[in-house]
Amino acid sequence: MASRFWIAGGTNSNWNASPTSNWCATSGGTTRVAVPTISDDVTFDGAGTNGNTASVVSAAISVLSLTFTSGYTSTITINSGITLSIAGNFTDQTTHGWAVGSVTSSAITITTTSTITSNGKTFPGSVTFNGVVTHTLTGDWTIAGNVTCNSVKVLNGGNLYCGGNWSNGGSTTGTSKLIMNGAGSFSTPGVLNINVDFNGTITASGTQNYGTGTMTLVGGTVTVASGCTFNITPACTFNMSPTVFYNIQLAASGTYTINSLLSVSNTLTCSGNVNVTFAGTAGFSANIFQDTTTAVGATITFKNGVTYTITGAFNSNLAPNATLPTYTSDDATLKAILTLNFGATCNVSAKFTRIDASAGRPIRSYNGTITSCNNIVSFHDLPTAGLANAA
Amino acid sequence: MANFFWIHGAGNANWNTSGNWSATSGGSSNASTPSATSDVTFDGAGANGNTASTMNVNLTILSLTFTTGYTSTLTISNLSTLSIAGNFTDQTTHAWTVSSTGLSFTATCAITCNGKTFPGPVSLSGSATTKTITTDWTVTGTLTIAGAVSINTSKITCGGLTANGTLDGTGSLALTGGIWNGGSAMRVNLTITGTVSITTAFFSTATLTCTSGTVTASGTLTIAGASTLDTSAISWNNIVISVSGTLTINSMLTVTGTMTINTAIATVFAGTTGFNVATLTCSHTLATTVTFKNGITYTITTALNAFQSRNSAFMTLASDDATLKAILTLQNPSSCNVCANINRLDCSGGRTLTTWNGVVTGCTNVVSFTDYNSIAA
Repeated sequence: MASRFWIAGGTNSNWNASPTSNWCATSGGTTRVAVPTISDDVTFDGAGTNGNTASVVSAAISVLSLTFTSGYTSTITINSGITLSIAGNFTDQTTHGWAVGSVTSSAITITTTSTITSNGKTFPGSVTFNGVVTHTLTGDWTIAGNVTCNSVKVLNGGNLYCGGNWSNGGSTTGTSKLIMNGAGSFSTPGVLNINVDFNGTITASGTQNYGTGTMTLVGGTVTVASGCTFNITPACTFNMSPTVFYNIQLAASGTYTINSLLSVSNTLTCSGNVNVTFAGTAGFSANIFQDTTTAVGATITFKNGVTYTITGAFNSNLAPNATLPTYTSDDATLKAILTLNFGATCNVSAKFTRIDASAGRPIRSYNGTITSCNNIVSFHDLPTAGLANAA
Repeated sequence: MANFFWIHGAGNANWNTSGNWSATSGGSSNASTPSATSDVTFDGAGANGNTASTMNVNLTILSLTFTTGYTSTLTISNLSTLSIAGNFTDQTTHAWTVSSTGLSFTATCAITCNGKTFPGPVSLSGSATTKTITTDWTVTGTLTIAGAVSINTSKITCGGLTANGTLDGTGSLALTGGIWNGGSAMRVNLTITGTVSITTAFFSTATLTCTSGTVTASGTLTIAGASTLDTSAISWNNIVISVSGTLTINSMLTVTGTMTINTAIATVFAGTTGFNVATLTCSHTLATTVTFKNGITYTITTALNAFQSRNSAFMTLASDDATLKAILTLQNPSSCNVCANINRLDCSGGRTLTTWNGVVTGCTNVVSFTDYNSIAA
């Protein structure tokens, strides 16, 4: 490990200038040393005759750490398509300038466990986090371009602002909050387990996987494409109104908290055999609500006094008679409100306890057990009038 | 092992009197009585060898043989049981007098009776033992099966049947009266005639015949595995089919209560005739098929229940033929609680068979539905 201080004055202002380099092993020194490598700590402190001059990353390069101090006030340019890889800490909280050739291609890649000290400073390009590591944000970090998270990682500390696209390919956890505050896409094929605020013009498509955390629509819009499915695991909190999701699949047992109306234009699914508890101050409005329990008598618990609306179809018909799912209120006496809109279909074989369905059409449950409900009826045979050869 | 010949040399005729036995035919008395290692013979030889004899205590012997020379009477006193751990030869003209107790065969043996009747109860016991019935044998009392017993070759006709153990083998049973009761499987052909009461009964992998007589069935008949029923003279109370296989019905099978096909039991109804049951309950929770014979009529008078399985693994009710239908008549006003796939059933003889979420293929008067409202409206 060696130190590299930017002193400039080399063949050109590029980091890899040759034959005369721009680097010195000491702050403000005059003895030029080799171009930094992945084992070197790089510092811009403005010391020396030309130390506070513009610098260009013109070719891919990896360093151990990168630090800017207040003495450096000039501009670092990362040319288009070029990546600066940092295998350690990144300290960038001073007033120097950044210029990137491309906002959308990854200009900085952070590859190992690191502390990123930005204190609200904005990086105008795109950033990639690699490696199964922990990144600690000291203060908020604003990335104007895209943010890509690969592998399993932890993001701790301050907020991470993303002004472009967000892509989470691995499982990401931590205490940091992701704030989508620009115009871009939200993509998390890996499970995302941090809080997310949406406050821009955001789109989502494909398959998304979200787990522990809170999704909040602070402002702006989130447009969910047709066919997009959010696979959700607990403990997740939705506060996304008026966002309209396409599909939501509740994929594991636990509590799902809804704090503003959760709208689903296609299907809200409780995956096979999971026990789902809906909590929070608001309900959902789903075109299709379906439970795919096939074996174990799962329980779907609704918050008493909260309204859950199904507009198109209520399907809960897969579990054998001996292990029917149960739909119930969370309260020992008070009912939850489950409204199956008039005109909706009902293909249900389940038990119901303390559910008020009086605002819509009757819920008909094949061989179900109904306890303290309104407008829910169990049946097992059809009225045969009108059927051929029937009584 | 020792020989004991009945000579009746003492003042009484009891078996436990040592002076009544000789080690040789017609010989002098000895000083002992038969035991579990004794081969006992009644041949009438000697001055008093052809006289009445009384088996007055519980006794186990190795074998018992009657020859033509003995024509008198052997009495088994009340509450005494004669256990035989080996062969039994009783084909001559002597007489028996028995009351509530009788013979017990505890080991593998040959029973040679040539149609002779034993006028009391008989027990066949001994786990994994085989009783070879060399010729047909009639037992007027109750035949009790205990342990896992086999009978081979010929038929036992009995006046009652208590199945405390399973019965297998190439032999057969005829039940002419009394009670058939017991929870162990009878796996030999059984013919019932006369006046018989059936309480709990278990039958398996053989033919059960009853086409005449007065038979009262008050309990449940459990059928395990491939069997043939020709029981038009019986109105069964309940029938439970507990093992997968083919149930061949060769005369009308009538069930006044419920015929239940247990969970996961794939049943094929074959034969020349169908059934008439009050309630048919198919308890299948997974994808299992109940198959009916094409062209045969199966009638349900009260309820059809087949609602344990669901969409993820439906059970199926189907005809055995790829194109021809079986006739399943669900009489009015039976109830129908069905969640199953239905293939090639003609239900036009009764009310509509409705199946919740079922797939209906090639049927008549069978309707699938998902939403009650869509039809109720």
